[in-house]
Amino acid sequence: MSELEILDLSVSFATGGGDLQALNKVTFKVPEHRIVGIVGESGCGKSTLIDAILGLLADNGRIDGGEILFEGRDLTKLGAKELREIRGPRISTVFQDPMGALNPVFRVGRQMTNIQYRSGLSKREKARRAAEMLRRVRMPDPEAALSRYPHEFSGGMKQRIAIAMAMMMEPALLIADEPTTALDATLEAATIDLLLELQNQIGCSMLYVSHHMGVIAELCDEVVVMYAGEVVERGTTRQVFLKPRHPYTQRLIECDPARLAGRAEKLPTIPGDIPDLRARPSGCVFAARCSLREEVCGEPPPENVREGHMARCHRAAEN
Amino acid sequence: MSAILEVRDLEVAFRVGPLVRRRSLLAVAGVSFDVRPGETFALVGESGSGKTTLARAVNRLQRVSAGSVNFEGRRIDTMSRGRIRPMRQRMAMMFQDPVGSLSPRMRVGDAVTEPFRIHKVEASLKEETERLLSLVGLPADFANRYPHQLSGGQARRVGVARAIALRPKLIIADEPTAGLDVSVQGEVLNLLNDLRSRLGLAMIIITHNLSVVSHVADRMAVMYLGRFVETGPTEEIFRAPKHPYTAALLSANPEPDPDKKSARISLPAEVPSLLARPAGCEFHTRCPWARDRCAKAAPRSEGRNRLVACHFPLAPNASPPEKETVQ
Amino acid sequence: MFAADSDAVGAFRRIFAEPLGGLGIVLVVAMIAGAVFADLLAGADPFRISPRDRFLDPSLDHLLGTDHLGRDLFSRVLHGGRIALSVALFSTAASLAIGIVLGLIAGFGPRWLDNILILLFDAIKSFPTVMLALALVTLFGPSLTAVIVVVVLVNVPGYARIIRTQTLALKSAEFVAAAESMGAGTARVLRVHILPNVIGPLLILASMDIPVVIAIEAGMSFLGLGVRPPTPSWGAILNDGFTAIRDTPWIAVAGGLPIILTTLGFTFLGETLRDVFDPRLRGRG
Repeated sequence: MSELEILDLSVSFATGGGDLQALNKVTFKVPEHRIVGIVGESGCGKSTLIDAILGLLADNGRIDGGEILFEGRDLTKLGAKELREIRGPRISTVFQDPMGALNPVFRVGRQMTNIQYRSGLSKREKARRAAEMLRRVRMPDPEAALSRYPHEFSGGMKQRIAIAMAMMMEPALLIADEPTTALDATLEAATIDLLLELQNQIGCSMLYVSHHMGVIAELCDEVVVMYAGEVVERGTTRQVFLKPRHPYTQRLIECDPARLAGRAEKLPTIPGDIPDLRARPSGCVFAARCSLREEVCGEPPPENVREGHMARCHRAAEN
Repeated sequence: MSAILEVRDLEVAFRVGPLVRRRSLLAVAGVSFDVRPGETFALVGESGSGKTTLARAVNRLQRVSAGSVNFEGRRIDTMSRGRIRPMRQRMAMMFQDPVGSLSPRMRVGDAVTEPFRIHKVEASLKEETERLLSLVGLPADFANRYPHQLSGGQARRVGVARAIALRPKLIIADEPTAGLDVSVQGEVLNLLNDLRSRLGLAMIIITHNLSVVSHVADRMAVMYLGRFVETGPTEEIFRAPKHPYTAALLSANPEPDPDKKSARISLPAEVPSLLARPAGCEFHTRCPWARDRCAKAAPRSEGRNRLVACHFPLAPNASPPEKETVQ
Repeated sequence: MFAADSDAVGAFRRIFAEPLGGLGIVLVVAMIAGAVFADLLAGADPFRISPRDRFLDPSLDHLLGTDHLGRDLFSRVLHGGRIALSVALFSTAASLAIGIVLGLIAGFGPRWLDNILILLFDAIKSFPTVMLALALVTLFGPSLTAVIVVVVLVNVPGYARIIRTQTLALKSAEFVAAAESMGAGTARVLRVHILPNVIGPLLILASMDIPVVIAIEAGMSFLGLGVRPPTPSWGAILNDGFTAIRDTPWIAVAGGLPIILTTLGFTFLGETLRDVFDPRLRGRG
């Protein structure tokens, strides 16, 4: 069974220069107890996707079609109040900037007991659980940490507190949006270990969004590759990273400088820009930058699925 | 060949805290290095390591507290503001934020020729704009754009064009790939590499991203709490890091390959404060290999070409000793 | 340069797209035209006293009637507009120039200088406008100069503070450090790199302050502290009107209406400018 299932989701934004189609028929699943990674560069629609799942699209945004199924309910059809009951206890989030989750004027302890308001526990019990959660994210001296303010912690520690708060209510799904991007590399490793450990203990699913392919490869069971608001490739992590079928995925993996051993004279790049999303190309979205482009690419490419490994490319059958 | 830039025992101190209990904090705590013409030197470190402060001190945007900086054989850290200004034609700096380092109300054409106006260099600004934009691979009509109309990669190219406008001898680039997509990072690094060989520039690249370093830098230095813990030729350091911190940094850079499950060296998250530097080796509080001696005596930088500040330099391919998880 | 023009044209078009903005422009242009072409439009001499024609009702000869000395009120209103607008424009321009310079110095200069300037601004701000006006008139006697000095003193602290706050925010911006690293001196950094980024909101504020200035001039002239008779001024006309309001109310109307219309015109214009140039509000709808 899937914890989260996105079906043909399309989202657009009304702008001065016409409608901007940010997501175009996005489809993928996050199975129970699994970690699904979403990888893509700026403008690929990662943030819009998260906003849509959480029901937090900007005022000029609109869901044009599709479903977001979570625990059997379509989130696109729920009202603000019902969504609020899901957001937090059932679907929780960790963002790049931990200060988005922390209120600078309250002590950490107060914030961590406040989010348990639905639990019906006594005040002391809530405080005990908060300290316990901080211990699980390896906060040194958790009891003392409860009475400190967010700004008294380093960036890495703040992110740990944010993770503790997100996991506090044992959600069914954790959405992690570039949670380690602002952290130093040596802290990134520890934070990823921590997320894996907690996900295991709590048994939740995780949607992990990142532009960093090394992290995705290390952490995720399945990968969704997005480009210009479309899912261009989808499969298990081994399928996507070891035998990528879409030219964009192939180029993207080549570009990662961590892959190249030794000094390269010329680093690989993908020339060109993403298409203007106010006037989507009628055919393949990647065609303009693709080195394998041919005439047929002017037509919308079909989803080519083999052994659960999907690529949206006319030439996918060759790979 | 003689060095174009010589930095000796450089220190930068900040005074922090309230007036009554003002304390001094050493952001850069005595570093020395040379950069030779045509060479790329990389400064690697994480946030708070002092790499950006060091770069700003070399460029005299930041006051130097102790030590010396010699550029083209002249000592610049004690020069007056008026006398340093002409030197800046030959030492350009690129800042982290590709768009934010361009004046928001200034068109690209004016931005890249700003150095000519500042130094009152006689030139046809229109021709120079075209020359510079084509050097960095931007179409000439970009001259009319404003920074907010550029993508990160394009803005970065404009920054490069501005930096090379007056044919400097040295470029200091602070996180040249920060904020850029992976598919664009390569473009910028290729451009810098290309310009370096064509124009014979010396370059200092400051970054936290080690995978960038291996492709562009001849030599590198790893900074921790304002000091160099390891310096040497990039290739050698990548092949066999000797300082545990360097090893941890290198291991923290995962390849996009699910089968290479990481041999990441996980460090404790709490980075010491610059106001309370640990005694002995300053890295011992996070070092998986730390022994008793590390907490007591500070290691000296040993070696000539390859300097390592560690009591127990690592053997090649060392993996951290098994330890119980620190709670 | 072509692109700059099209920016201005675009802004102009956006102003007219707002109904109140269009009305604002029409009112402001009408006022300025009336003041500039006062001699042509009025027909009558605003200073010519004609005892026989005292307190005439509005007619085709005298569109707004005449005052207690038989002077043509329409002509006096138009010429009064000249005084009002030139005082407003001159004193606003002077306030802007001084405010910008002091604000840049306070925001970019050393901390101690900033502290001194802030103290100075607050000291001036703490004087009520009327007290300030009375004090200055006692010193210099009632005159146009006194009006201008009062306006400048009242406006400068606010303008300087706006520029200072924004300059402080930009002081550590990367593009400022970049300019310094290229070798730009402080003057160039301030003029070329900081000023264009901080002046926009101030210009909008200043355009909204113009009606306040006109009101100050009118108020001071009303109290006899501003323009000396027989020079026409809206405030003075209004004052004349009040003494005769029972018999000839149109004099008060003739003095008051232009003040109201100009105030509305500049306020609409200023508010629309703010909406048009605020990037956060741009691109809606």
